[in-house]
Amino acid sequence: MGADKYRMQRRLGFLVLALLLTWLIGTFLIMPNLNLLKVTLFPNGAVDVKPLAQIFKSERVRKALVHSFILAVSLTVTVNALGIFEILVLEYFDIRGSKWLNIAYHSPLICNGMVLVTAYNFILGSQGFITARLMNLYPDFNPYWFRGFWAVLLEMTFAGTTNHIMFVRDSLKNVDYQTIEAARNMGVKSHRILSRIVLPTLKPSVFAASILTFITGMSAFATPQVLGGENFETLNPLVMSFSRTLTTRNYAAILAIFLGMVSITVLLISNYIESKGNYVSVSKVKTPLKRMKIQNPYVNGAVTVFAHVTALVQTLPLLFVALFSFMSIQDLYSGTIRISNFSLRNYMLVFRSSSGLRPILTSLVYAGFAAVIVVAMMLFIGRILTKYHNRLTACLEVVLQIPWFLPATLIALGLIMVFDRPSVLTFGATLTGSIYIMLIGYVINKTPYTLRMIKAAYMGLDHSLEEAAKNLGASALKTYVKILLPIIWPTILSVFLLNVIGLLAEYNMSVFLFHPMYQPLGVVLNAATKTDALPEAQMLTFVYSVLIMAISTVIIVFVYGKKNKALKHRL
Amino acid sequence: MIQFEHIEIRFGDFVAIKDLNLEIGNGEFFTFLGPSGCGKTTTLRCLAGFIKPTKGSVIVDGEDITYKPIEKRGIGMVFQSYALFPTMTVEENIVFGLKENKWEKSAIEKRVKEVARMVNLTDEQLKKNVAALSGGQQQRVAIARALALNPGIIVLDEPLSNLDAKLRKSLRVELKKIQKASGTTMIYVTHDQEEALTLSDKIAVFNNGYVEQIGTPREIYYHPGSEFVTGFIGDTNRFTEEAVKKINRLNGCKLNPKDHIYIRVENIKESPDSLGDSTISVDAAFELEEFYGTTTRRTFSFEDMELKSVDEISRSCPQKGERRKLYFKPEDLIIFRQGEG
Repeated sequence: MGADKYRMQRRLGFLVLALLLTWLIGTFLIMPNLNLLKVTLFPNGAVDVKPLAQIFKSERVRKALVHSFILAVSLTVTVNALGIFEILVLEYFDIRGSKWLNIAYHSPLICNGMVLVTAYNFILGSQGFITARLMNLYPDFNPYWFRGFWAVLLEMTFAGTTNHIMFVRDSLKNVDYQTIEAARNMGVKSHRILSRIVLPTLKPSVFAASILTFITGMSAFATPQVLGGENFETLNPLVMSFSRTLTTRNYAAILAIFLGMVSITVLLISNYIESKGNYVSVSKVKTPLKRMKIQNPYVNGAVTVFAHVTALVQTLPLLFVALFSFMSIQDLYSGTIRISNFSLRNYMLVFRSSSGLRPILTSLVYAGFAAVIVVAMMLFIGRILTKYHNRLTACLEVVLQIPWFLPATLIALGLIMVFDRPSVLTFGATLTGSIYIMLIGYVINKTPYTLRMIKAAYMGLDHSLEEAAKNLGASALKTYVKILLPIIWPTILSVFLLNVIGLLAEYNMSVFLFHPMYQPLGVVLNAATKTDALPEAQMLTFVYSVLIMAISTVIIVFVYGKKNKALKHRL
Repeated sequence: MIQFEHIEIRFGDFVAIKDLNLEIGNGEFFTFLGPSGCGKTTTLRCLAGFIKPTKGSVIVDGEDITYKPIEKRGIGMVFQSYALFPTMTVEENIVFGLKENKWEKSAIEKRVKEVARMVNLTDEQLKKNVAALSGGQQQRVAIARALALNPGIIVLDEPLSNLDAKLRKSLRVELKKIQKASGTTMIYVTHDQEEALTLSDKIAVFNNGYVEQIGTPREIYYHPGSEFVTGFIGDTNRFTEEAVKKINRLNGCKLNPKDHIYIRVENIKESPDSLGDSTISVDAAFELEEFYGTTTRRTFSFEDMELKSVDEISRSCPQKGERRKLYFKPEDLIIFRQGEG
C-alpha cells in the first residue's frame, strides 16, 4: 500500500511539473514565434503575400539584405583566418611570448559585444580618441574614416575569435602528435604536415565555428548600428527601426523570420555535411601535441610579428577603455592623455548616485535572476532528457533548442507582439512593457546553452554512482541531492556565472524588451555611442565597461582557470 | 539460497537471457563466467534489482524478490567502475549506506572500523578523498562499502578488471579470504577464466543468454559439458577430419572423423614417459615456440592443422620444420559425437 501511495504521489508530482513545463514552453517559446508567422503570412486572417512582396521590393531592405550577406560571408573568412592563426600560434608553433599571447587572445571573452563596440567607437569613431588625435595632426582628416563595411568587419573579426579560442583550440590540442611524427618520418615537409595532417582534423570544429560566425554576421546588430553608418545598414537594425511603429511591425516580423530561416537553413546544411564526414581519431594511445619551432627564420619572424600585432589590436580597446575611465571628457575629445589629469571622478559619478549605479544593478539583477531561473529549469529538464528516451523527450529537446537558431531580435519581437494584450495564458497580464518581459527573454536566450551544458554534465555522470546509492538504500531524491548534485555542482556554478556575464551587456534582445525605468547596461552603452549623447553619460560608459570586464575576468578565471581543468574539458 | 526460476530478460526484441534456471547455495562463492554480451552482468543486475525480468522469478531464502525495490533487497554490490562517490571521503563512502539505513552512530563507528580492518584500510586512508587513492585502494573501499551493511549476499561485477595483473592476483586472494571470513554469499561476474577457476566454489558458464554448464571449477575444466565450454575454458586443440583419419591410420584407433574431437594443450606431451602404456602418437613438424618462463608453449603442424602443446620449461628450442613425436592419452580426448546422438 505504501509503495502504491508513493508511486501515486510521484505520478501526481510528475504530472504537475509536466503541465507547468508545457505551459512555460507553449506560452513563451512556441506561441510568440507562431504568432509572428501568423502576422507575417496571415495578416488579415487569410494568406496575404503582399507585405512580403512589398518589403522585398524596397531598395533599403534589398541593400540591407546584400550587406548582411556580404558581412556574414566575409566575417566567416576573416574570423576563421584570424582564429586559426591564433590557435596555431598558441598550440602548434613555438613562438616567443606565448604566455602574453595566450592572455591577449582571450581578451574577446572579456571585452566583447556592446562593450567592444563602444570601445571601438570611442577610440576610432568620429568623436574617438585616435580620430581626434589624427585631426589635431591633420586638420583635413575625415572624422568618419572608421565607418562602414570595413569598420564593422574589423571590429567583428577581432571580437569573433572566441569560438576558436574555446573550442577549435581543443580540437587542435587533441591532434595526436604521433601522426605528425609519422608524417615527418615519411619525409613530409612542415607546411604539408600542417595542411594535410593537422588542419583537416580541425574541420568539424572549424565548420561549427564557421556556422556560428555566419549566423552572427547575418544577424549583426550593435556593430553595424554603431559603426556601419548610413551607407552600411544591415537587416537587424532595420528590424529594430521597423518594429518601432505599429504600421511597420509586420515588416519587422517578416525580416526577423527571414533571418531565422537563413539560420535554420545554414544549420541544416551544416548538420548534413557534418554527418557525411568522419574525423574521429583512430589513435589508441594519443601523444599530446608539442609546439614546434618554425625553421625558416623569415617565416618565423613574420609569424611572430603578426602574432604580437594581433594581440595588441585585441587588447588595446580593453586598455583604452580602462584609461578613458580615469580621463576627463575634454582630454578624450582632444585626443590627449595627461596622467596628471587622471581621476576617479567618473567612478564616483557611478558609485555615488543611484542613477549611476542603476544600469549596473539592473543588469546584475536581470542577469542573475535569469541565470538562476534557467539553470534551475534546465536542471530538471536535463535530468528528464537524460533519464527518459522517448518521442516526447526528443521533441522537448528540439523545442528547447529553438532559441539557438533564432535571432535574438526575432524572439524579442515575438514576445512583444504576442504579449501586448491580456491573455489567458498569462493570467490576464500584459507583459509587453512590463519589467518581466526582458527577464523572460533572457531566460529564453540562455535556454539552449544551459541545457546543452547541464545535459552534458548529467551524461558525464557515472551511471553506477546512482545505482550504488540506491543499492545502499538511498531514495531517488536523496541520491540526486546527496550524490549527483554535488558532482555536477561545479558545472552548474560555471554555467550560472557564464550566463550572468553573457547577459550583463546584452543588447540585441534588451533593446526591444527593456523597461524604460530599468535600462540595462547594453542599452545604456549603445545610447552613449550616439552623437547626441550627453558627454557625462559617455564617460560613465567607460566605468560600466571596466566593471563588466572586471566581473567577466573574475568569472572567466574561475571557470577556465588552472584549478578547474576537468570542468574546462566538460565546457 | 538464491533461485533463478525460468528467468527471461528482454531489451525490446532482443532476448538477453533465455529461460535461466539457477540455484546458488548460502555462503558460496559463485561465478558467472562468459564472454562479453553473454548475459552474465544482466543476470547479476536482475538479482540486484536494477533490471526486471520479463518472465520468471528471483527467490532468495524462499522469498520472491523479483519486484522488490533495489534498496530493500539487502544485496550489496561492487561495481566494475567501483562507483565511489567522488565528493566524499573514504569513510563517508562507507558510512553512506549505514546512515541511509538509519544505523546508530556508535554502531556505525564500530562497523566502519570492522570493515576497514577486513579490507586493510588504515585510519589515515579513511580520512582521504577517494580520488586520492590508487586503483587497488579504491577497490578495497568499494568492497568495504558493500560489506558495511552486512548483507547476506554481495554481487561483484568484474571488480578487478580495471587493475593491473599483479594487483588483480593479490586482491583475488584477499577477496576469497574476506568471503570465507564473512560467510557472505558472493556472486562474481567475470570473463577471466583464471579468476573464475581460482576463486569460485561453483561456476556458471554463460553463452548467448543461456547457461551452458554449472559446476565446480574442476568439473567445468575436466568435464566440459559443451563444445563452447571446452573452447572457452582452458586452451584446446580441435582435430580436423584429416588429422583424425591420420591418427586412426597410425595408431589403429577407431575415432570417428566426423565427431568434434578436442584435446587440452597440456595433455600433449613430447615424451611418452608420464603417460603410461596406451598412448596415441603423431608425427608433427615444429613451427614456433613461446617461452613463458615457467612453461613453454610450442606450435607444431600436423596434417592440415596446428597442434599446440604446453610443457614445463625446456632449455633448447628445436629448429623450424624439425620432426617431433607428440603423445597423448585416448582418455584425455574430449569427444562431441555428431549425428549419432
